[in-house]
Amino acid sequence: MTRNRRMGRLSWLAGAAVLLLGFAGAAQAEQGPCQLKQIAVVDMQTEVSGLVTVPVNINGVNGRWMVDTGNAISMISSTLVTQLGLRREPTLNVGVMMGGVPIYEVATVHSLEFAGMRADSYTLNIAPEPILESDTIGMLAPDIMRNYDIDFDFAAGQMHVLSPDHCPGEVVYWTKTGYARVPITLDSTGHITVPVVLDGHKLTAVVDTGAQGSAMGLSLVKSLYGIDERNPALRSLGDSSVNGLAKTRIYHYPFKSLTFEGVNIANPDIAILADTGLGRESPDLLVGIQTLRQMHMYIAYKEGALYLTPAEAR
Amino acid sequence: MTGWQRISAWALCGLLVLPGAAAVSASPYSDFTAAIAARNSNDCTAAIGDFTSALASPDLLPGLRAVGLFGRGTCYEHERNLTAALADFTASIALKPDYYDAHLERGKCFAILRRYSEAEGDFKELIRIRSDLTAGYAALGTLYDIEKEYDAAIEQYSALIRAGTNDYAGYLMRTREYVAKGDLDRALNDADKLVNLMPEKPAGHGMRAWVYNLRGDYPRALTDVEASLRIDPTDSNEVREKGVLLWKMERYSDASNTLVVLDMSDGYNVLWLNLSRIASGVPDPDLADRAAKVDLGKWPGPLIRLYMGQATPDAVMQAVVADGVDNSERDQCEAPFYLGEWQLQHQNKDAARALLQKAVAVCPVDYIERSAAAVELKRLK
Repeated sequence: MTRNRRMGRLSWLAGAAVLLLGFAGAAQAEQGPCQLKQIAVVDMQTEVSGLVTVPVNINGVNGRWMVDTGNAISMISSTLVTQLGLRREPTLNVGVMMGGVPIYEVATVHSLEFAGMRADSYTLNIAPEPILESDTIGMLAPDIMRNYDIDFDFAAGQMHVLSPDHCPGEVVYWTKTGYARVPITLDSTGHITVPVVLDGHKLTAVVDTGAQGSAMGLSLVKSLYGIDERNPALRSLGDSSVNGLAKTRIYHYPFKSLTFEGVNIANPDIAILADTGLGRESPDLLVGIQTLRQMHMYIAYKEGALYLTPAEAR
Repeated sequence: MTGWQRISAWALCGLLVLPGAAAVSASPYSDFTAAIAARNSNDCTAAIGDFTSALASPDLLPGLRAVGLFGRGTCYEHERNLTAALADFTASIALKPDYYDAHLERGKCFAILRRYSEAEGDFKELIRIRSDLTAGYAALGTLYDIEKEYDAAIEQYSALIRAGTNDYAGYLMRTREYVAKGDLDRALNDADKLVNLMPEKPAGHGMRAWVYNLRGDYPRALTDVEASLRIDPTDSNEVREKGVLLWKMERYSDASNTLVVLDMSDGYNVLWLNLSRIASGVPDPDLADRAAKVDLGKWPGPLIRLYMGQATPDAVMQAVVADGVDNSERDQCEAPFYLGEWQLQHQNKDAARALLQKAVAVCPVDYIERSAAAVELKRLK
């Protein structure tokens, strides 16, 4: 394999302020009060890792942004900061990503164009090169996404950006077959948390499109399930790099069932990390893109709900 | 009721079953999804099968097709089926001409197949696509290094350093290149930068030790090797470097004590421990035991057999010739050195001198045997 395994990209930015976008130029059609108002349809590309990217233009440079609901502040690659000659400034909101990767610098760009919208001055966190796909120039995070509804149509390769102002429940436009509505909790940085049940134990899970697979920490597995390294069913997969930088031991355990409200997943494939590099406040479980891409997922940030159907439901 | 029953029904149909469990293949998209999951689990056999199923359908989206071809190509590459990998990378690039990763991987395949001009074309293209990234410069520099075009390689590594995000890798590779070119002053300058950039990393100290060693400044080399080993005591290359340094400094007993901890399935470790022990005036009673861990049919096995008294110098030289063109530079450089040392052990100084002079003349500048032969020739004076 040519790439390091990449796990989650959660960043926990103490007291990070959610920036107001100030995007301008979005065209919205005049529609009825309960109709969804689409702002843009964006070409969403699946990378070979399974992560998804969307087009962005930063200070006139076209590139792709990795979509990361598990991050907090959108990011610009360190290489592009160098190329554009941007000033690197320390941030008071020092963050630590999965694997213990620190984020401690920001840069302000004079133009940021995404989904037909434009911001004239925007401050982005600087991402160290190893945590990004080779042809991406940053990450799109909830500081921008949470101002809208975001609809991930993985099977069609499209991301729909919609107005958050709609009638509750009037969302699933792409199919008349069944759907699930899962209530979500947003923390101050826009992380989407949902209650789940894993093999009979209630956990909190974060929906993380920036994580390749699903993951949880070994310490929780030990304390909650009484499973430790002496358990023969806990299989070591060896040491692996997380976020391209930090190394940790990865394990697999044959869990039987993961249940969201409304969604039951049999035999979930969950990587167990000896050290997540995160503190006690980290979520119990990350649900990564490998699981999420099997669904059509509509995030109604303002309404506080996920709408889910099978990926190819039409 | 928010759809629980209907969603549960999907699960029963297998549509919400995670990869790793038995997933139902229902469409090119689900095949593609399964392929990505298999590839991420390092199961290339399954990934190739799933990618092939997905790609067989005309309904697979063009964007996914390019990625699917690339993904399958990397799996073929992993399985050393380079012909199939090349075909997939080429098809992928045809769909998406600016596919950075596909150019990189296709270039690597071309390089392995010694189709250097085509590899060069791909690496140049990926630098054109993303001049700010370092991988293109590193790949092109490595290619020029293989072709012994040292100045061209140095130019690429300089560009890598200018890209500004991975100076350390750039200096590391450029130091090596200056050494290969024989420009030890510039090599030392870069090695100094390595140590100053990240003194906590062992590689910089190890690299500077190597440059000092080649310049004949053994005390400074030893200081850096020991600094490197304090950071990473498990690095066997540095342990051997230290042992050889001590041998050059005529601290043969210390050299023996250093080298004895090394893995003796490596034939060179067997030889250097023998050289150190004999030079310190003590016998080497367990040479045969160490040799038993080495595949004596492969180089430097014939040399070990010589030292054990089981082969003649002529037999060693025949082995060098029979070993093939690929290794001729290595073996024809190494053979004279170790034959020369063997002659010294048998008190044949004239024969030793001629062989060691040949080693100095033939060996590339970055070979241990070259500098060791030069040291030995000085002693013979």
